[in-house]
Amino acid sequence: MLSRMKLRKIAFAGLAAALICPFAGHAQESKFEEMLGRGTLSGNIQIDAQMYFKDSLIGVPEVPEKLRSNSFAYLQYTNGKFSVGARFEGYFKPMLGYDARLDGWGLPYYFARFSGDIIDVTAGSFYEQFGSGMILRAYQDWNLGIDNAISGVRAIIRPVEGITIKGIIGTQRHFWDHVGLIRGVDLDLAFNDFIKPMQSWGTRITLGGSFVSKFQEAGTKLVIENTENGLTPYQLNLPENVGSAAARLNIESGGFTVGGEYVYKANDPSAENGYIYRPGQAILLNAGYSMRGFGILLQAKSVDNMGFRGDRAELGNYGMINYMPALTRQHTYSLASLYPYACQTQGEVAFQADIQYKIKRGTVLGGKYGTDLKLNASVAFAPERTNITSLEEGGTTPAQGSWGYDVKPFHMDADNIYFIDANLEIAHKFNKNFKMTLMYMFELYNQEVVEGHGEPRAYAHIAVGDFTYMFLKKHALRLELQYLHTKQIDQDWLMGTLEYTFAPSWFVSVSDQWNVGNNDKNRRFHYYYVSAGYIHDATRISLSYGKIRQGIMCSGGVCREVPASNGVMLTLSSSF
Amino acid sequence: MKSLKYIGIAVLAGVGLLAASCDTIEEGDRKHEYTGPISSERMILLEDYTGVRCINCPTAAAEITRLQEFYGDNLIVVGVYPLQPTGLTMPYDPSRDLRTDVAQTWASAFAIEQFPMGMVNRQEVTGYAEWGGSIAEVISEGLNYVNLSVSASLPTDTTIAVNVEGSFVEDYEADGAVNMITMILEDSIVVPQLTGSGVNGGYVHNHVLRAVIGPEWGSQVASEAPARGTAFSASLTGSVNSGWRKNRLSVVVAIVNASSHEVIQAGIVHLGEE
Repeated sequence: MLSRMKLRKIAFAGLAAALICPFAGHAQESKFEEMLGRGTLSGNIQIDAQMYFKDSLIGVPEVPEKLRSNSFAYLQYTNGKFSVGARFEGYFKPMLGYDARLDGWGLPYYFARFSGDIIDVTAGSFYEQFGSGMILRAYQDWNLGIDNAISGVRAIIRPVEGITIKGIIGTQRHFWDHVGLIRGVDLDLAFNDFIKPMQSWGTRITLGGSFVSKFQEAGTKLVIENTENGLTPYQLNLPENVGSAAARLNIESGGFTVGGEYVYKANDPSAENGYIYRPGQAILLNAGYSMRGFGILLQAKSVDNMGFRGDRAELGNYGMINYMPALTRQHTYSLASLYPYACQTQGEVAFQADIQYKIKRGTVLGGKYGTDLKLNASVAFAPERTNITSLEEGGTTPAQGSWGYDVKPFHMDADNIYFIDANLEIAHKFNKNFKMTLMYMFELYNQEVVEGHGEPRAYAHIAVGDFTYMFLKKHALRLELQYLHTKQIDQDWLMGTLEYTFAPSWFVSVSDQWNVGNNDKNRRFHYYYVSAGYIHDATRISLSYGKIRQGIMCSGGVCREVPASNGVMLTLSSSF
Repeated sequence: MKSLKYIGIAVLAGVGLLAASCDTIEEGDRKHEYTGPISSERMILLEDYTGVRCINCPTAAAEITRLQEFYGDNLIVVGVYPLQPTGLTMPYDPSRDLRTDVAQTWASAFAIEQFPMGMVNRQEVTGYAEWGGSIAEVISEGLNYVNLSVSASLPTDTTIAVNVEGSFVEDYEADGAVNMITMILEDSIVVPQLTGSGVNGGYVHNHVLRAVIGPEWGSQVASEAPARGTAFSASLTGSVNSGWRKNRLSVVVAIVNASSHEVIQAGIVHLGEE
């Protein structure tokens, strides 16, 4: 039987032959070639390569290969309603911070798709999301090294305007292998589109529902407990099929929007939840209002035991079937994102409020162009758990094979705060040459929960000033100053960045992130970084040199550890 | 109307999917006393990848203690302390560093970058919650290919001598030659360890891998597919660091498939038994 790798290579050769052969050496252009010629070839590539220099001071490990690279090349051929595509990936070896199980190369993603008016069918690899993703989200994040694409079949049916029915079945990508069997169906109803009387309404109502189930063989799960007979082994009866269901509702009227989603997951004992049998559930609520120059969004989320994976033994960021949306602002300034929050799929109660307001131009505070104000606050707590079935008197760890504990939605342990972020950003353009952004942020960071070690409560104040001055027609100089003050973790940081841009193609920047206030004077390191790049249309190339501190990088509430590094990095990306 | 028909089909499909593909385990059915075999002639090797700054590693160590109590001599444990990631491994006291280069070589080869993670007979990298089941599965297989005898002595203060004799009691038909890896372990080492209650300066580390005698991936003792009756023997000499307490040393010998890395037999001898 051919291995998966060999099958992928054969598939790629077949795809290449199908694309190339019709064009090879025919005296007359056949109808087939004419048809193929009407199609379009598109794709993108990216190469990230880093050369590592050992630096024991900042904890840079020895990298025997010296140079490591993550690369991909994606090709898609589209002809009318039909498309085929494939993506080659190569990790030679994976760059530091990316899971070592990525090591290797091959064609992990390939598909054939027919997108008709009523029916849309994909065979092969695909990404998909039901609702907010809390029940199913197959996606890729290149920077995080996450790719849980489903390989199988997907059908999307749109029998009438406003009704979308999706069905999927397949296995989940797990590095260079596949795990679990996932089945799902999703129904989305935009009532205003198919109910005639509602078509003229100013209020739009959408309702959705999903069912997702995963299958994994039970295997042997042994638990050894102290009983009156001494050490006694128990075999857990693990469910091979774990089902989940979700319902969502969204109402928009005028500038108002209100919505929510509820997800229920049946018993799913796993390494992540300590092999307990209580079901999981998640609730996401949001309400907002927006008009010209003003917007407000309020969100609330309650999560309990919602880690849903293709392999019940998997831990960390990989192998997730679903996704918990982050109720925190995704900061772009380095010190503001020094201690980012990662969603706790096992349980959290979170709230977020986001207000955006534009002070009108022509006013004293608005000036000639207006002033943008952004006020954001988010908080996350541990859920309040009761009746914990622990083997130890007063223990906080539920016994394997037990129900686990009791918890009610939105009941939080107010003394156990995971994260607080309150920030205010002011952006103002003074004239056509000069603009400025100022930001203040207060953060409470539970390093113990988020990173698994460290401070239970780290308080930080962060200030950012971002100034851009355009001189001459296409030249711009940007200065970014940041300061982080905290008495915990590594104490204070100061950061400066100077960036020169010669639009539209060239940029060069220098920055230094300085641990100016570290209580250990010997660890007040400078993490300097120099970068230059060229952009032409959809092609970007950049070369950087410098030091990067050990930390965490997050995207959408999912984080990965970034080890310290010292070296040269090259990034090349292009789309066509 | 038509729309309702499509909605109804979708709802039925969803309900049917949920009903057919959801196993609900009732309270009285969640666990059953395990009645499978709990011992075998094949020794099980459990390698625990750990670090002194790994806050969850003491929990894994507690699980190991429970498994050792239950399986007794059938279970051989090796604590493997890689160099990286330094965030989990950097010693609190540089003079008491448990990390070894060979541990890092293995961790890199098996792509182990998070702790605690472990391997039962080097078959799969899993968290500690899976180790009990993995051990039970190996014992249930009832397979034993090798009988092994290990002895060791300390002829001098700085050398250790190991003698190994083995023979295949069944045909071993897997691909790959058969190697022997010889490890020196030390018990009862007091080194600061991060726990859920903070850094414990008096934490006791057991079965710590100190060194490997010979190549890190072992020396060949049999060629591919050795037949029943194939015998092998080896005499090795290794160095003993002056900082090691000799009465706390053990020697672990693992017979492994050089290609798949599967541990097909293991043996242990404790020096300086009390």
